[in-house]
Amino acid sequence: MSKAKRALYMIRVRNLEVFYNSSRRKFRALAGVNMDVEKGGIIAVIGPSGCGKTTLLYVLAGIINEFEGEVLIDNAPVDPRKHRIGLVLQDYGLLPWKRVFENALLGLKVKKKVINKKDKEYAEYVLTRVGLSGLLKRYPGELSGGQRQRVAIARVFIMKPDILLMDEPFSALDAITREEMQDLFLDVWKSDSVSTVFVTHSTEEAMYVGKKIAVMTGPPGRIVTIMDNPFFGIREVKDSDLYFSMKLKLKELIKGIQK
Amino acid sequence: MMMRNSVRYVFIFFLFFILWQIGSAALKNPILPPPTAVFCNLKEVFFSKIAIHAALSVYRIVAGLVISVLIGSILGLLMGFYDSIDRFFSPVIYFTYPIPKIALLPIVMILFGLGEVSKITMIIIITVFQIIITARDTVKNIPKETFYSLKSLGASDVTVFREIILPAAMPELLTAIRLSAGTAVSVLFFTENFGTTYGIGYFIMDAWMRVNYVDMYSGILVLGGIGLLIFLAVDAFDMIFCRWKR
Repeated sequence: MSKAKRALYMIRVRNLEVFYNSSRRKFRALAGVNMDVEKGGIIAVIGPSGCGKTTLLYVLAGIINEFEGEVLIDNAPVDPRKHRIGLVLQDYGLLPWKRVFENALLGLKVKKKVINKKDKEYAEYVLTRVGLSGLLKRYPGELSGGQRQRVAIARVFIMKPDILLMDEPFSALDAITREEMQDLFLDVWKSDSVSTVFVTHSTEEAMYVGKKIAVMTGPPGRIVTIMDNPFFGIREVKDSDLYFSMKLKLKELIKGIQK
Repeated sequence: MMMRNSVRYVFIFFLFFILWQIGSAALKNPILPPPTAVFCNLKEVFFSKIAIHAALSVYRIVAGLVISVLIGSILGLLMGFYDSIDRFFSPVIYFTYPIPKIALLPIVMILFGLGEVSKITMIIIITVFQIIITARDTVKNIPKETFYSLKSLGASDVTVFREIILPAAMPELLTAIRLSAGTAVSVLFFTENFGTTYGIGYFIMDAWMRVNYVDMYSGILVLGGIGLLIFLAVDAFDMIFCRWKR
């Protein structure tokens, strides 16, 4: 592969195989997954539950480190100590014993050890931007689901990550909050354009937040197709015929190989 | 809030002493003197006779508990986090926990003498087990997703201990300390019956031998007061370290 092409991609996954060892037999969770994410790209990974989406994300996050194949971040094998990996989980991943502000700074604290005034100011700026300015002294237990997810999003952007991994971050929220959070996410994302893998099980969400959409089926998990998404970041769809035909196609792809 | 709390304490104690007074009046036997007599006695002899016993007992309990909590929580948290350490120590603990340690008092006394060390050792070897087991199980019960954010940040084990394990285990550890404090008072009472002429346990037994029931109840009240103070101290830790729980 040419040098120019190498430089183009932030995340490269080649022939990724993951096995879980249950008590008696080996369970094949991922079967030869290939996926690339360009610098400044967002790929939405969509698929039914249990298809291995989360497994793929955990490999990228360095949580699962026993796998076969190649996983490169910025042309180096994935290593959470070297790379700045921003991870947003469905259950928010906040530490209940830390206040909002401490939680938001956790990523920086682990990465940098020393947190200076500038970091704190930037953290306050991001937290204000996601609408949490009055809640910095609260504990996560005193926040609503949407507010907690705002903290989780602020936390990853505060640490200025190399890559961003989102594991169904909004699926536990109600419909209105979910749309609000999708808008907020894209809004903050646009100012940073960090390469992102966004796992979801909703076609609407995938078609709103993904520049590209990867359809996954399984188990064992494999990526069936990766397509460009002309509806990225568009809430008010003009060409609704194309929108619905694409949505239908996605749904069929997800179902098709499940039977 | 604080005010209301202390009012509640006073009210409950008042009720308790009224019941005691009624019981004493009904029994009309020197084996249950009225609380008024005990209070008058306490007022007279607390500083001259009881304070030194109480101070030594507090020292033994606190020293025993602090060492026990240090050993127990460090070992327990490590066992909860590292399977290899757990696999080594669990059989040892399962085997030694059920042995009645009180029966080891003579051996402990031969090894550590009649003084403070053997009394503190007894408190440690009896209370340390529930702290180890509580600490270990609490760590094992932390949902593994809790670790994911830190793991994806490449956090070291030391960071994971500081940011997750310690704060997550703290509420349960404090409960274990409360239970251990109760046990420690009982153990102390027992050990102070041997090889010492100081300590509130000795004072109570001595008063009993002298058939001085008023003195005896004074000692029992002071022992209860020591327990109460320890519990209040643990509650204070709870207020400081587990605020997120409320």
